[in-house]
Amino acid sequence: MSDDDLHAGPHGFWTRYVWSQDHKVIAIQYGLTAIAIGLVALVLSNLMRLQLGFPGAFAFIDPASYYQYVTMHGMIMVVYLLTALFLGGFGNYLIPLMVGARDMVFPFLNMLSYWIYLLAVLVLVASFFVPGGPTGAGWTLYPPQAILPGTPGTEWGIVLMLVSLVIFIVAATMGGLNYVTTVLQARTHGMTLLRMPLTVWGIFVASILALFAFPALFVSGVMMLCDKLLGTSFFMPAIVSMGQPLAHAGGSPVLFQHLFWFFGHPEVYIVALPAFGIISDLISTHARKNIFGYRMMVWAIVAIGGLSFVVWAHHMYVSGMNPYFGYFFATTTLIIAVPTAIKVYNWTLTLWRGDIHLTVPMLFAIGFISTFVIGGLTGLFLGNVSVDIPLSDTYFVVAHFHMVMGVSPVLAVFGGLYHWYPKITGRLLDERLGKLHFWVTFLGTYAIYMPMHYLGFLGMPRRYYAYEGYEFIPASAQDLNAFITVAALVVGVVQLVFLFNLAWSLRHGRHAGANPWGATTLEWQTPDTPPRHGNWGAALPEVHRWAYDYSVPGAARDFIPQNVPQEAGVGAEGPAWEGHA
Amino acid sequence: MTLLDALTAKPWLPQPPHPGRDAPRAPAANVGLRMLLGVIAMLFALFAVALLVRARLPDWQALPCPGRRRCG
Amino acid sequence: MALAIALVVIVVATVVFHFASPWWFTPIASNWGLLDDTILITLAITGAVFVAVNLFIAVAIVRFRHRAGHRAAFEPENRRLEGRLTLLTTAGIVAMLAPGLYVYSQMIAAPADAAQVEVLGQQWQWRFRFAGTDGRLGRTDVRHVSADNPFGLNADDPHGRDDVLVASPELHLPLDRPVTLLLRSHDVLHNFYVPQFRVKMDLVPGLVSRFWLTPTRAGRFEILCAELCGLAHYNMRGHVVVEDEAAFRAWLAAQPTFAAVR
Repeated sequence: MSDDDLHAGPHGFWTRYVWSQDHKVIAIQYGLTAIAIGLVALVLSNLMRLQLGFPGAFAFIDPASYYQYVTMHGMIMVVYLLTALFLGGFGNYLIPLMVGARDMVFPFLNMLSYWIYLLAVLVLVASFFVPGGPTGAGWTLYPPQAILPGTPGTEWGIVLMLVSLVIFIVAATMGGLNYVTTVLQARTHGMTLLRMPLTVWGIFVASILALFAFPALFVSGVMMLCDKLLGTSFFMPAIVSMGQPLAHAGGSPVLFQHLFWFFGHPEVYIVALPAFGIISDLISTHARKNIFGYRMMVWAIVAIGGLSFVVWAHHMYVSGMNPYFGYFFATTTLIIAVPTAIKVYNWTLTLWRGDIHLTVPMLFAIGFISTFVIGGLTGLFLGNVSVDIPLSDTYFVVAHFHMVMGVSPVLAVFGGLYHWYPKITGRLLDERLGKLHFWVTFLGTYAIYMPMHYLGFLGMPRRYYAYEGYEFIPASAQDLNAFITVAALVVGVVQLVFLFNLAWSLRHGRHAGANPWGATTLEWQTPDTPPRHGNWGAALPEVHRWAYDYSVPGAARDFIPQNVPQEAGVGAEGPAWEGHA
Repeated sequence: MTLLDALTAKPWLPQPPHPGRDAPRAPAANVGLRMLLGVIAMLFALFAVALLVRARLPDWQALPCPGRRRCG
Repeated sequence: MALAIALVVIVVATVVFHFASPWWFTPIASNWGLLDDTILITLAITGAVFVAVNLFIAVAIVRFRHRAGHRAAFEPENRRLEGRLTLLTTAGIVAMLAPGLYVYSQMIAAPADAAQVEVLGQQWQWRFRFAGTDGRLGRTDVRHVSADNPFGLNADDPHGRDDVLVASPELHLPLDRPVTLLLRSHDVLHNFYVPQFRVKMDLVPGLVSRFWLTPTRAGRFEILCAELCGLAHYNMRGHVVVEDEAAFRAWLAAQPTFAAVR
C-alpha cells in the first residue's frame, strides 16, 4: 500500500463504513452494536423489576420468562455490552490514537473480530425466538440445572447461549491480540510504557486478562455442550431428574464452577480496569492536575490483573468445595483490596489542590468514584469467607455486584462517551441533557441499590420470582421493592435522553474544535477532527513527555500536550516538587 | 532498558532524549503469534486440567486398548 | 457545588437510613452470633471509609472548584503519603480478615458430639433422614431411587433399615444440641438456607456437603432454597421446628423407619 492510499483511505461507502478496517469505524460499529444489545438487557431488567415491585400485576411475566430475563440480562450486560464496549469500543478507538499509531497492527483481524462479535450477538438474539426461548439457568449457567428439564430453554436456548459464547470468545481473542500487540509494538517514537495514559494501561492489562481468562469459559462451554449434545459426563453426576434416571454418571458440577469462575473473576477486572483507566484520565484532565501517584496507579493495575487469577473461588464459599480452600481465597481476595484502595485514594488526591471543572464527564467520573467505593467496600464482606456465608445468595450480593460492575463501569462508559464524543464526531454532546442524564442516573442508582443491601441483611434470597408467604420477610419489604422498581424505571427511561443526545448532537451539537477539554494526550492532537484514515497525516507524532503535564509550574497554559518538546514546555524540570520524590 | 527500568522510571522528569530512533522492534506478527500461542497453550492447559480433575473421580475408566489386555 | 451537596446528602441519608431502617438481621436462632459480629466489624470499618471518601471528595470539590485565576498544584507523587495510606489500608484489611478466618475455622470444625441429619433436596422439595437406633446412616445411591425409595437407600445395607425417613418438608431439631447437616441432592444444585441459622450450604448432586450449627431458640423457621434450581426455585419451601428434647424425641418416634415403609 502506498503512502497516499494510507492517508486517503478507501472511498466507497461499503469499504468505508461497513467492511472497514479502520480502527475508528470498527470502534463505532462495536460501540453501537453493544449499546443496541445493552438496551435489550436494560428492558429485561425493568421487566424483572416490574414483577418484583408489583408481583402478579403483569400476567405475561410468568416464572419461566422471569428467569429468562434474569439470565439474559446478566449475560448481555457482563459480556456482550461491557466487555465488548470497553475493549472493542473504547480500546479500538483509543489505543492507536493514544499511543500514536496509524491503526491497529492487524487491521483485517480487527475487522474480522467485529463481524464475529456481531455473529455472536445474532446467535444470542436468535435464542429469544427458538422453541422454549432463551435459557433461564442464571448467567452462571450452572450445570446440571442448565441442561435439565425444570429450567426454561434447556433444549435450544442453552445450546445457542453456549455457541454464542464460544463465537464471542473467538472475536474477543482476535481483538485482544490486536490491542496487546498494538500497545507493545506500535507506540510512536518517545512513547515509553510509563508515558502511556492510564486508559491505555487499563485496556492493555484488561486485554491480557481477556486473552487468558476467556479460554476457561471456552473449555467449560465446550464441555457442557458435550454433556448436553453427546451425553458425556464432565459436569453431570448420576441424576434422577423429575423421577427419570439419566444416563450420566460420575461428573462434577463443582468442576464447572471452578472453570467458570476462573474466567468469571478476571472478567470483573476486564470490565473494571478499563473503567479505572478512563476515570483516571477524566479526573486528571478535568481537574487540570496530573494524576496523583501515576506509577503506583500503573503498578496497581498490573497487580490487580495478576491477583485476579488467584481469587476465583471466593464465588464458591457455599458451593460444597473443599472447605480449606476458603482460607486461601479469602486471604488473596482481601489482598486485592489494597491496590484497589490505592487507586481510590489517588483519584481523590488528584482532586485535592486541583482546579476542578465540573463538566459532564467530570460529574460522571466523580459519580464513578462514589459508586465504586460502595461496591468495592461491600466486596470486603463477600470476599471474607465467614462474613460471606450469611450474605451469599441474598440481595446483598445483588446490590454489591451491580454497584461494582454494573453502575460504576456504566458511569465510566458515559463519562468516556461525553469526553470523547467531540473527538469522534467533532461536536460536543448537549450539556443540559447531559446533566439531566447524570443526576437522574447517579441519584437513581443510589435509590435502587443502597436499600437493597438491607434486604440482604434481612436475608432475602436472590433469583426469586416472588416472595409471597415467607413469614420472616416483613410486609414493608414489598413496599421497598415497589420503590426500587419505580426508581429503576425512572433510571431506565432517562437513558433515552442520552440516546436522544447522542443522535441530536451529531447534527446540532456545538462544534468542538480539536481539543475542547485542553487535554494533553495524543488523540486530541490529531491534525483533523474527527481523525481521518491513518490518523496523523504525513508524519507520526513524536512524544516528549508523559500524559499528565497539567498546570506545570511556569508554563504559560495549564496543559502541555505530549508531543510538545521539552524545551518548549517550560518548567517541567522545576525543582519545586522534587522533594516529594 | 529492561522492563523493570521501564516500569520504575519517573516519567514526569525530563528523560534523556533517545539517540536516533527507538531500538528496532520485532515485527508485530511475531509478537502477535507469541500471544496467540500463549492463548492456545492456556486453552490446552485448561482442557488438560479439567480432564485430569475429571479423571480422578471414581467412575473414570481408561480407554480400552484394542488387541491387548492392558496398556503400558 | 451541587455535586458536593449531593455527596453530603447521600452520606447523611445513608447513615440515617442505616439507623432508621426497619430492615435488619432476622433475629438469630443458632450459635452463629459470631457471624453477625464479623458483619458488624466489617460494616463499621467499611462504613467509616465510605463516609470519609465521600466527604473528602465533597470538601475537595468545594475548596478546589474552578474559579477565575485559580490554578492546580503540580504533584506527581508523594511516596510517604502513599506508603501511609497503604499501611492503614492493610491494617483495616487485617482487622476484618483475622476475625473472619477465626470464625471460619470454627465453622468447618464440627464438635465431636454433633448429631447427624441428612437433608435431601430435589426439584422442588425437601426430605430428611435420621440415623436409627444403631446411630449410623445407611448407604445410598441415586441408582436405587424409585417411587417407593425416594431416598435411594441401599436395601442390602443393614445400617439403613432403621433409618428414620421424614418424607414431609418439616424437620424437627432438638434445642441446644449441635447437629451436622449432611446435604445431598438427586438432581440439581440447591442450597439449604434458614435465615435465622445464618449458615447455609449448597446441595450438590454427586457429593455430600455439610455444615454444623446448634439451634439456640425454640420456634418454627422457614427453610428456603438459596441456589437457583429451576422454575419453582422461589417456592421450594420447608420448615424447621426447634423444640426441647422431649418433644423432639416424641416427633422422631412417630416417623417411619426405612424397614417400615418397604
